[in-house]
Amino acid sequence: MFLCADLDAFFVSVEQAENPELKDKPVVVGGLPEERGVVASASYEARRYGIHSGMPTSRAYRLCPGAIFLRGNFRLYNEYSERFYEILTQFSPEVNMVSIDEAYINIKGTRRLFGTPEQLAHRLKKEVEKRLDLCVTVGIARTKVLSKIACERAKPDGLLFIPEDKELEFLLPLRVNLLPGIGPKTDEILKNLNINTIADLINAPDQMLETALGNYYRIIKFFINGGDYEIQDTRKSISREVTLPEDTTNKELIYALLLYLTERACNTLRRQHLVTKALTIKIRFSDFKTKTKRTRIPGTDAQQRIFEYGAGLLKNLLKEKKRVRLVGISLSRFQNDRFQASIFRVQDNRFARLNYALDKTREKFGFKSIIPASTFILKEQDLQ
Amino acid sequence: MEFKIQKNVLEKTMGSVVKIIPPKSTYTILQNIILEAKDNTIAIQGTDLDIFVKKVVPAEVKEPGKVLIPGKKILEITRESNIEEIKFKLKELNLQISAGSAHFNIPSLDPQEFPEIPEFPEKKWFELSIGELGEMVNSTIFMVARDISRRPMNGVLIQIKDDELRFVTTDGARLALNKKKKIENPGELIVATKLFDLITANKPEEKVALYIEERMMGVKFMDTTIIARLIEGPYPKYEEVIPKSFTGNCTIEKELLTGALKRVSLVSSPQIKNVKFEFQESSVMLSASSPDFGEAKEKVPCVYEGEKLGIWFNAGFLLEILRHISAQDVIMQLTSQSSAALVRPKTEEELIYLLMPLRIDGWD
Repeated sequence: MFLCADLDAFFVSVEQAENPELKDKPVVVGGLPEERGVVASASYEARRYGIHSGMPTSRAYRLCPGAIFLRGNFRLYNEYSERFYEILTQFSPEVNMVSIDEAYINIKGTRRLFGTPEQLAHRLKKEVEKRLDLCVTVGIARTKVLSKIACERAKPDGLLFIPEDKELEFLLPLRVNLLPGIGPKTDEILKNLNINTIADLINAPDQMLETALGNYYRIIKFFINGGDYEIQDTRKSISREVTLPEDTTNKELIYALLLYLTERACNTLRRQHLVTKALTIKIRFSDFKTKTKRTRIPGTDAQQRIFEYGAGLLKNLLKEKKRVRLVGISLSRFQNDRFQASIFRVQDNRFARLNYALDKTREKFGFKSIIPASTFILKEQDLQ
Repeated sequence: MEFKIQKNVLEKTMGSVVKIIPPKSTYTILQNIILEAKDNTIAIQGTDLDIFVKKVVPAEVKEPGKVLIPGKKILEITRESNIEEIKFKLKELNLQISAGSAHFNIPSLDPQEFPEIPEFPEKKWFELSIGELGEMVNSTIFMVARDISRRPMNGVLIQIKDDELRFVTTDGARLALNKKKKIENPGELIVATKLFDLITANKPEEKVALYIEERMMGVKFMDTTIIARLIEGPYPKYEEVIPKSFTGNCTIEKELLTGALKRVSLVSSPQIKNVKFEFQESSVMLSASSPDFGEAKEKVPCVYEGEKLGIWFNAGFLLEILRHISAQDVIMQLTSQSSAALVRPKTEEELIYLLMPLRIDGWD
């Protein structure tokens, strides 16, 4: 049984949570109208004026000149996303974030702890509202595909549970474009064949669908028949970077920033039960020249180890004595064996225990509740 | 060059030399073997550049000579021949093969093109029987690391120390050590596992002699000489990680443990294979669970001395160790939730396995 949780109008809602004055107003995140940006997120009030994501902000402004336009604070959104993930992991060990504001959760075997799927969903919604001041829509069904469709149908601030014996009944009257992978183009093709609902699709002869859609029709049929996405982690890398408010040559500050970013990235890494085997350090100078260095490392999830390698790469990059504008770290080449302790790397076992304690503390009291002393300089500079 | 040779002799010998030929290599010359006829013997040599193998077998040599020919093809021709004796004759650059009424004409290459074969190491180290070697190898080799990032762990450590011959392997999470009394010169080397495939398939009562040099080792047995390039060390300091004392001692019937572990691990997470062991006075409780498959537990009787202890292991790793123990009872010795367990047959102390636990719940 899967639960699909999708935060409503995510970026805008975060802005509203941070600044309650924005609530119940048409708000658009993506850039100021005179800039060249596109709408990344629009509040439901703004959507009433026909504003939707992907639209140039200048056009959004013409549709609703009274809307509040914001550039957006992506660091903040990431932070909210991570807190959202933390909440979800309380309900099941198997949480797959598929984007910044959307996740699938395997809720099999949670009944004794949280009751029926609906009871669990209610609790989850309450928890998200209480801790993040955000609305989340929840769809629950036997497969991820169905839970996603249910979630789409229930938006905004909704909850929809599709019991196994009601699946077909639920699907038949729906528009075909609710199925995954049916975009405007495929939708248009199907419309020309007079196929509008999933019921039409099921009743259409296979041969007709194959001619119209090619091999893709098999995948659609597979989903309708209860097939599902593969469970897999979509993450190929975990990256963290910060642009400094002011360019700097202060090495102490740059290394502190790297340590902070490494801790952040490793925290995410451990939550996904992964170890990393490759590390990239990125640096951008005041002249906007960007340099990266990458190295393979023995598999680990300990920031202590990764920082050691990272600092080595950074030292190399800092040989150019230019002012630094941005520092970033990226972990990649993941492996799944973080649970197995090592015979020889005794130090790693100690790190694992230490980091477990750190993660637990941070889960409870927030990431900044405990920080390495050498990153204190960031706090002084208001960077953390 | 001209000679006659028994089909079954040639087939067997070629078979084991061809084994070493790399299946696909950019260095295509390695697909070939050297055939050399002199003094009523045939010498067959092949290499993958890490291991050079040479076998010498009797033949009826009419005219001595040396030729480089495609190894696998000659083996196939030999195998498919339906006659007892095969004739070889080099005519210009073609090797003519007559097997009864079948005739082949195989182009050959200049033996000069073959990579240079290193000198056989001079210094003899020690000797043992193929059977003894096989036993040391079989009990340890399965644990060699496959991950190529830790090169020394991709080989077997052979060591003579404190009048013991020791074979050591590890994959980082487990370690195997098999030792045997042997009063010889101390020394050690690390060598790739494929070397042993060439040796252990032979008659167990025959002797095998090991030679040692800085970068090479030599092996001699029966009609075979092998030169193997060593893997560069240092090997991880294995002695330091073998616990000297334990707080918990468990004696358990191997078959009972194996059966229960196989059953309980059916519902563990397929990637982690985590099974919890809870040791108490007269039993150990195995349990596992995962969101997809539910939960399972099984109590196995045992004799346990020590404090109660809960510890997680990778069931796959432990089952593999148990498969390599032939004794009826095994001993598991433990210290804590976060330190290595020692597993060994009850009846012998020469063979030990270490297994690190899983870090579930962060080890509270």
